[in-house]
Amino acid sequence: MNIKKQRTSRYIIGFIGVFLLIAGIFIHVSVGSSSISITDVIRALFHPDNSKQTTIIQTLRLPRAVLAALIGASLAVAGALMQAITRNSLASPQVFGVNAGASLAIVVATILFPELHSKTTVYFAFLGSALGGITVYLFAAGGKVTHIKLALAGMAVHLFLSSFTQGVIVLNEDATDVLYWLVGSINGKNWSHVLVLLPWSVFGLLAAFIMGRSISILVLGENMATGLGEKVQWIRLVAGVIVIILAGSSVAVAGPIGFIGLMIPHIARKLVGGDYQRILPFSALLGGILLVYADILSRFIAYPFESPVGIVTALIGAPFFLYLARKGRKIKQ
Amino acid sequence: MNVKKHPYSILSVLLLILVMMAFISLGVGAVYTSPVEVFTNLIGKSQSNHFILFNYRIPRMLLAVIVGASLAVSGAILQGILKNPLASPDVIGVTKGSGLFAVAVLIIFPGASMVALPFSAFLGAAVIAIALMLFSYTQGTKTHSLALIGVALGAICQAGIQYFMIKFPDNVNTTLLWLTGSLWGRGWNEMWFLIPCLVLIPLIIIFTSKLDILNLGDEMAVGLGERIKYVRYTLLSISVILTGASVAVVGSIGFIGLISPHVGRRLVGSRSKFLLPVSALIGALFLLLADTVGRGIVPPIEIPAGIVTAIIGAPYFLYLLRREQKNK
Amino acid sequence: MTKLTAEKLSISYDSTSIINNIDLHIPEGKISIIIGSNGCGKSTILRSLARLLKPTQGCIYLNGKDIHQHSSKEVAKQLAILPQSPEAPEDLTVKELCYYGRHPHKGLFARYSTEDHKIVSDALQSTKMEYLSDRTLDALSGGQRQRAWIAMALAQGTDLLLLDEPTTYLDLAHQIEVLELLSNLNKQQNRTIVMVLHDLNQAARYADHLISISSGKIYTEGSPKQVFTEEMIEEVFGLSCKIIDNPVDHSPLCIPTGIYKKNSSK
Repeated sequence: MNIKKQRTSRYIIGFIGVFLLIAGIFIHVSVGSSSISITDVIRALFHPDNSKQTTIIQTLRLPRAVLAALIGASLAVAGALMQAITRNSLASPQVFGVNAGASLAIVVATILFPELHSKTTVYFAFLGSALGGITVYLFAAGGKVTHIKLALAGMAVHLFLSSFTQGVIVLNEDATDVLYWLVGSINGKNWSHVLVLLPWSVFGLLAAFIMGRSISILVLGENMATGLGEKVQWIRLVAGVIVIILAGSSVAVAGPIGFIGLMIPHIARKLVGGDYQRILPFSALLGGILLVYADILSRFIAYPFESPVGIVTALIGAPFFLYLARKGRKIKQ
Repeated sequence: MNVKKHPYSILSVLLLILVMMAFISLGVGAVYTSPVEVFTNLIGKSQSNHFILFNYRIPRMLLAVIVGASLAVSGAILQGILKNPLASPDVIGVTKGSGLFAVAVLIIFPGASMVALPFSAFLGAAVIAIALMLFSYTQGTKTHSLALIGVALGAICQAGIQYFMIKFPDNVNTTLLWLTGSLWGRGWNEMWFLIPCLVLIPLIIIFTSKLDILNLGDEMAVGLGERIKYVRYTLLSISVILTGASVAVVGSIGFIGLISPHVGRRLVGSRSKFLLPVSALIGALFLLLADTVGRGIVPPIEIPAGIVTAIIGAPYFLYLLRREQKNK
Repeated sequence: MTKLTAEKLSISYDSTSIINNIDLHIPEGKISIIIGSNGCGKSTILRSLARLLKPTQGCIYLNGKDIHQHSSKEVAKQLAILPQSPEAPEDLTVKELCYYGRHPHKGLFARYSTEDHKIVSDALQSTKMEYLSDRTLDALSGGQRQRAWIAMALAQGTDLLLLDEPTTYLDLAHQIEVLELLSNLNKQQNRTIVMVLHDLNQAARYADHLISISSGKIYTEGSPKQVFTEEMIEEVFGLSCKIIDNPVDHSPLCIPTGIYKKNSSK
């Protein structure tokens, strides 16, 4: 494909993406145990009145839709960053100890302080993620932080913490309720959760997009990057912090929703090429779309019960990825 | 002393440590048996703890050794063919496939015979392996795609597992326990499932040289006369069979396949001729140690080996990571 | 002597044609060098000769039989290939690498025989790597590492040696070191050598048979004196030059005088 065709197709993909996202949010809001027509949704959004529908939309559905979009975007971008700094396509925010740290913190909190309000557990989880990430970084340090060490340290910390968590759950009957949290769900969240998440997500996403060019250069290789004037250690550190912010806050609010951070960057790369200045925003877009639609579906799979969204994201996203993988160029060898 | 220059010594030392560890593990448990008693029982001069030893401890020790070795070799093979240090049977979805099938059986057919569980686990691993090969066929087993496809398949299985656990919360504890990986209650009956592992040993020995040729790059490997697709698929199958059998017996113990090859590489370098046996010994030692500790630390409560492997193994591995940098 | 020919060879990648219907016969016992500008398809030709690529049309014949009908192992016993940037684990020693060259000759269980040991030791001697045989690859200079790979290819014991840009990342001294080595191997051991080279003058100096490629077709082939003309260099490389006699060995020497613009007057 020549350059002009590529660029046009990327814009087209971008437009389709944005359209899908907005459509998704509308559908998300209108669908549910009591369905509300799209026209009513529009009216509720732009000419709010005191009707029951408006209340439902404004207090329950809209925040949830917004949350889904934000978390999807944050996790996807965190995953893309993670893969860049570990130069390993199998990496995900998991590999930075973020999920496992948050999970462990939540489990411990549930056991030690069973009366805790869900809002406070969010801060616990965030703390857990941060500690997880810092631990990984400390262990990868001690000399230069190479991408391999980062990946391996991350994996080790993740396995360590999640085994600990598993151990606690197995040995302590009260903790089994936590299992539901461990799968990840946006159910039952409201504006207060959005408010907790919003500053971190927005900050993290903006910071990531600004770093886009540096990340692209980082991926060229350490020597090349240094030669182009980038401070490799710094970039890794800042990117790591952004990962903790984006993934940590998302996990804290909604539990560890898997798959998005791992696969979305690959899907983005297949659609728009290898430049991180494009991959990061597209990942955000795709992540938001995936999670919004997954959340919609999660309300129907086991109707009238809600399935945890973490399950649905994998069920939609993985086959799509496999389809893309098959479509790859066939080289006769 | 440059450790890498003496692979045979390292092999011997590891073997010796393994034997000692096996001996010690036979003594540990709810009923402590001193080494002397163990010895006299083994050589038939005493019958004092005969029942416990021969019906529980010995088979369990053997299972730990074989499973640990199998998982380690499986991980070493995967890291070799995928050229990714994060690769392990867990990461590319094989363990998760086993888990999914096993959990499904546990929940849907709770009355099924004890044999159904390991079989379904093995079946799960096989299904994932076939799916892996099917999906990666067009790419010509390009290593990059193979790993990612495995991860995608694993994610689907993980979703399935979580779905079952949420949908059937009463069985959660049994499910979790199985998923966590443990040697509790495993005995001679389970040994049958490990026969594939033992049968594969000569095949593995033959293929180690091919694994090294693969590491020279695809074009060089073809230039030296290897059919790389065929070699990769065979090695992948070997890895899957080893993993499937292991998971069938002990559930999903994730750490060993990832870490043992790394430790092995530090000791003897990356030549498969030495890396595979050394990894096997390290894996066996690791699982045996974890099981023994899990049994012996707060008897009669048993901490599942799957948890202990991560809790002991991760800090040790992280320590190794830090130390390596200082040596450079 | 092993015969290698290409007939009506075409290679396309997706819908782009890279090689377009070429016939090539590799002269036995000689050094053939393929030259051409970037992207003209010279590496593609070499790799298809080595059966690394399947032709879209046409056929490669090894000793009269379609090369893809041979088993890969059979081919490996007749033809050794050294690809452009070979990878190897860092901690491999030169000697271990060399033994890999015996791989095509070994069955599943076969141990190395005395003959294998001799062949490897000869290969190390021919490449003057015996004193370095216990060093690991990452401890060698570029030229030494390339010699190690050539030693491995020699250990394969083939008549035919194909090399894809063996000198590209080396400094001049090491480039000459490698080329002289290949030249000696050809003269003393009568091995047929086919390589892709970047440097025109080196190609003209070391080749017995020169093949110039332009836009997926053979522009011309023959002895360096026949092929190395100002006109060829203008057409194939877009370079104006003056060709003189190399005062050291009388091979043609090309001295660039400027960029050649096809439709401008000179």
